[in-house]
Amino acid sequence: MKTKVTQPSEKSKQTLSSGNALHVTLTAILLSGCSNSTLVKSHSLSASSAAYTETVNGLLDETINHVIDVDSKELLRTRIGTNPKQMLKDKNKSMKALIGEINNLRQQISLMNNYFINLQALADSTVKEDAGVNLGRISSRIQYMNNRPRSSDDSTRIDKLFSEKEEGYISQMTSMIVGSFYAARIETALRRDAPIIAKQMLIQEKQLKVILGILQNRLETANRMHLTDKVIIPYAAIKDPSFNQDEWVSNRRKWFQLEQAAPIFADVQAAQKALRLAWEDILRGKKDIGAVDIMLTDVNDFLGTLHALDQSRKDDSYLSHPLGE
Amino acid sequence: MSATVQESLDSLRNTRNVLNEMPGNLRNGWSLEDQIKFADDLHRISQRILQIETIKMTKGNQAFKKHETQLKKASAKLESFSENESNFLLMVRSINNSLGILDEIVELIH
Repeated sequence: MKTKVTQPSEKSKQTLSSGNALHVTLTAILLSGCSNSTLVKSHSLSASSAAYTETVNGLLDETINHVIDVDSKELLRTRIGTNPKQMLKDKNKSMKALIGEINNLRQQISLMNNYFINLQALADSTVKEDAGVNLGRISSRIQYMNNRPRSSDDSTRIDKLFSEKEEGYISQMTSMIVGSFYAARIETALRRDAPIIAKQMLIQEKQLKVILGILQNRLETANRMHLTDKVIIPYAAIKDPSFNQDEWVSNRRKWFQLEQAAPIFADVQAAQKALRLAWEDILRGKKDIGAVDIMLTDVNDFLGTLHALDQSRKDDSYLSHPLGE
Repeated sequence: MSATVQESLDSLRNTRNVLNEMPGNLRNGWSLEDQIKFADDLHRISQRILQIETIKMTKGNQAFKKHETQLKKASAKLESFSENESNFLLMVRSINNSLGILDEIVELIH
């Protein structure tokens, strides 16, 4: 059995390296009024954002895969139901709706990453008249997504997810900006976009929390199925001539390995929050946003491990124990 | 996110886990009618879980507000069967008899 596990921070190192090519350093953003020590220690928000985007994309992919796989395994268990064709049709419809929403979140995260890249481009631009048209377009698009559906009276509007406290936080974002730190065009963009980006980040935080709950649940469900079908039932069937001891030992070990995969979930949420705080730091003219990178390294390790274990389980035709299903 | 909605979802997930853990060889010994009931129970519960998760993600608390108490009650009832009924067959039948309420509530929220 191969359980090839992605090396700890290779993926995130690559991500950060490609992110560095984009680098919106605060050095570039803070065009005036900064001390040298601030510049030396500054980290790149766009690099962190690129790393975050890639990590969360990986997480969303894993979620979609696990949701589909667990659902398919359940469909195999329920095939004998009243109307299998209709059951499959209903499940496909519900699954499409959930995957569609997960992909909406992916689009929002990608859009936000583009925003940070273009903020960098504006900061780096040597064209005096550069008003950051692209940045404005992306910001408008994010604002549009923040306000779905369009009617503010609609109880399902996405910003109804917010509490009063969170609304207050969003409205205070503009006042965080330390104007003297920035060139005029950057300051104008930040004043326009500060609440829009903060709102989007809060939406992402909430939706990511639901996604993590779903992924965690499907991992648990898959592990329970694995334990039942591949460990408990074969072990209890003492007269089964097809019992393979080596395979059983391997399956039991896999179950323990998968059980240990869960605690990292909190880190994903922490990384999301760190990115939002990094945005606040940009507005305030501060610089150290390294916390995001450190947490993303752990999350990428987790995703690599999860993927490798899942692959190895699939290699063993996990669905088909004769006494299980 | 409302604790009540999360508790309802947890109850449904727990019930689904118990159904998923029921060995196939045990179910094969049941009448066809009871095997169908088992399949319908698992299908309907996991279908409702998917729908609730999607609503939670897109609409948050507001969508559940009017019906969250009923949802919690219906979910807790299903979970109580899976927790307290040691006879798998009776559990499957009891869940089957009570699923209609859950279906109605989720349709209203949906």
